[in-house]
Amino acid sequence: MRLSDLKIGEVGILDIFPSSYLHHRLLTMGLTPGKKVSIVRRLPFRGNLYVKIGNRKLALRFKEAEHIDVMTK
Amino acid sequence: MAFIGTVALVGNPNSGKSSLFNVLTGGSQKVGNFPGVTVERKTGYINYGKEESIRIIDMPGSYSLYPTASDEKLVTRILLDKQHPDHPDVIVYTADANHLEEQLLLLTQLIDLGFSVILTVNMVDELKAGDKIVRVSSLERRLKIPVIGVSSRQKVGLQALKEEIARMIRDGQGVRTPFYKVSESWLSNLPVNPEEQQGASAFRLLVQAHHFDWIPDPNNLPIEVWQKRIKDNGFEALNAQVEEIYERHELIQKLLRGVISRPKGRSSLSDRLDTVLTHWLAGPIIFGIAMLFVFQAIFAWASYPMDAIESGFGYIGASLGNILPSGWFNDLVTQGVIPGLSGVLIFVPQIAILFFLISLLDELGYMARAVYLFDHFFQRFGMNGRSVVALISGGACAIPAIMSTRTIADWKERLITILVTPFISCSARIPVYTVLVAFIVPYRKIGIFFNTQGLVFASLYILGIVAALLSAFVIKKVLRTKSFSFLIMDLPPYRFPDWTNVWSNVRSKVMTFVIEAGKIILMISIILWLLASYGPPKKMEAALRQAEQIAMEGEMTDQEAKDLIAAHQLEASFAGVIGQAIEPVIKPLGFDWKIGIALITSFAAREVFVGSMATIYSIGSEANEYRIREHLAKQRDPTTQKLIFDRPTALSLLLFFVFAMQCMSTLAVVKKETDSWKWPVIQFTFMTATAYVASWVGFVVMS
Repeated sequence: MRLSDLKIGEVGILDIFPSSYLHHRLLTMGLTPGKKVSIVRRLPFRGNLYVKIGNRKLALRFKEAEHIDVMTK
Repeated sequence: MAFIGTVALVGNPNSGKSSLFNVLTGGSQKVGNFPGVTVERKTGYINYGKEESIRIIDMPGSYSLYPTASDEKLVTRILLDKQHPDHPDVIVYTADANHLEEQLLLLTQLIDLGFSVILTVNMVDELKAGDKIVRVSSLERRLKIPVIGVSSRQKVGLQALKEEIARMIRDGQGVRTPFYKVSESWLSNLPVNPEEQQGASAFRLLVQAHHFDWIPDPNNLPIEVWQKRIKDNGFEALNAQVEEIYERHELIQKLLRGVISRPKGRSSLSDRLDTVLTHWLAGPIIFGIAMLFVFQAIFAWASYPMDAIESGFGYIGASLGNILPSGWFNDLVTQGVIPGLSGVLIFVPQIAILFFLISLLDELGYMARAVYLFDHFFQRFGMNGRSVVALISGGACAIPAIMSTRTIADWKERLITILVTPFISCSARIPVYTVLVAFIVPYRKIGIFFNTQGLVFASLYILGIVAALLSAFVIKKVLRTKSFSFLIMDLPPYRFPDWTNVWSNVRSKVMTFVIEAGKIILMISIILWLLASYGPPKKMEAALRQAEQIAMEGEMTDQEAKDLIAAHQLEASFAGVIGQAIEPVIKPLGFDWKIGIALITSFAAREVFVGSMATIYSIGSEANEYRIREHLAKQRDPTTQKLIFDRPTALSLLLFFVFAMQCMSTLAVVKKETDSWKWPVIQFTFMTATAYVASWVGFVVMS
């Protein structure tokens, strides 16, 4: 499942990262696989996502979230 | 006083680094640029008694030794290049106690490079509220480096830190086992000595393999050698970096087990504020209202200090004019240097107030929300959410605005932002708008809040914004460079502003303007004085005689005669010659050669236009905007007797000022930021071409 597919409030877990610039960026920022992730709110028209990863709040683009895999229970 | 060493403050963005720098260095800060680049460089000193002091450099925030943005790149360069003048002896690494686990990556890299490092765990004061405990002593044991809990706000741990810095500079740090072990098979393929493959040197080799094309090799190996090594080794930089960072995070997580107690999740005030402030509809509306307030505040508050600066320099100029013996030096000072200085400082109040409010909003945590809200919109125009800050700052002055774009990591997005920011109406355009708007519409109230001239004023601003967006869209389509941009940005909790941060930011922005724009405005002001006071000698002589004659025949007062002579001499001067030479070019826009002179002079700073018009039309350059307007309204063409400032000409001029690139200082800064003459030349050409076409259309339609 992709992060962009999560419903608001639904909790997922960041899956293993492939090697890409996007995931490189996430890793350097300390956002590592295994952390809990959820979408707090979205902007319309596939706009930016307001997400919570661990105890941090972050802004992500929709197309970024489309490339991040998450696991759900 | 002896300098005993250099300390670099390094840490992630949002790690509380700047606050720590401010409390450590107090009033000893100096703001400038790193050599060769326009990344802001803040230095300060810590004194130890009367004998010794150390230099502290505040490095731009960065996440790792594998940089993405240009300021992050600079940190990597300084830390890796031992020859760099800012290369530190000791590093103080800052990490936010609330996000310790996520912020230690770069620390482990620095330790592996063999640096003497002190870790400061920042914002310990916030921990008590967050139910989170960091056991500093056990962290110290495990990392094997000094760890100090500090709070910049409550001034906790600062003395201990200062003492530790001094000790570290004296004694250095012992050898430690590296966190990350560089792959032996990779190393064994490198034709280097076995001792170079040990410890810190091994990791340095790996980093060099990643950055061989832009970081000088410590052993002065040529780039070709590294290119060959990398090819022979089958080395893939991205894979290697991801693998390394992965492994480091695992080590960090192990290391922190038992050091941190997890905070309890709770709905904070920040979350509740965000339900409104980042709401898809309410958010942008609130932002719009906030910006209206910001600009209202700029106009309301800045007018008093601006008046004071203006009359202050008027007084100084007049006094110096009386003290100095008359002659060319007197004229140079009173007509070149003093107006030049005044022309620089007059903008300081508006710039200071705008950056005060922007820094305040940033400190509160609000600017990150604005970036979140508008990023998607700006993406369509090839820009980034962070362009919001630059475009708003452009409302005061394009120079600090363009400098603020260096936080935009993607080159294409940054370039587009730099190129279109000068379309936003800056404070130097206001005096011109003020004088000319009255020629467009008479003042009439509309309802309680609005009036006709205010609406024209507002539409000029909107026109600038529209021009910025449209040209961004065009540039996005034309530029072939591919964009690799990410947003992924922390939304820090809202917190009370740290006033020293706000103050230090305002100071650095104002200094940047005064230094970068100031030197050029001053220089051009002196050149313009030369062009306007000297001319072909015979022509100047004839102009003086003619003016004196007219004054005699017309029985003018002394002041009137003086103003008339000034006008005639300006006409005969080099500036006048140039103005007449360009008349055929600007004729289709409805401008005569007199306006041409004023346009040329406005290249120093746009507001100079008003003063030049005053001189050319012999109004006396000390007149205020109202009086200048009155006089301009009476000017007629000597042959046709048509009013010069009729509606078409005024509109055409206004449009010209909205769009044209009339600011040498901005062009100089763009040259510096883009590191080539290509972009300022392109920017100048397309902006001035837009202005010319818009003015022409405006003139033709209104005529």
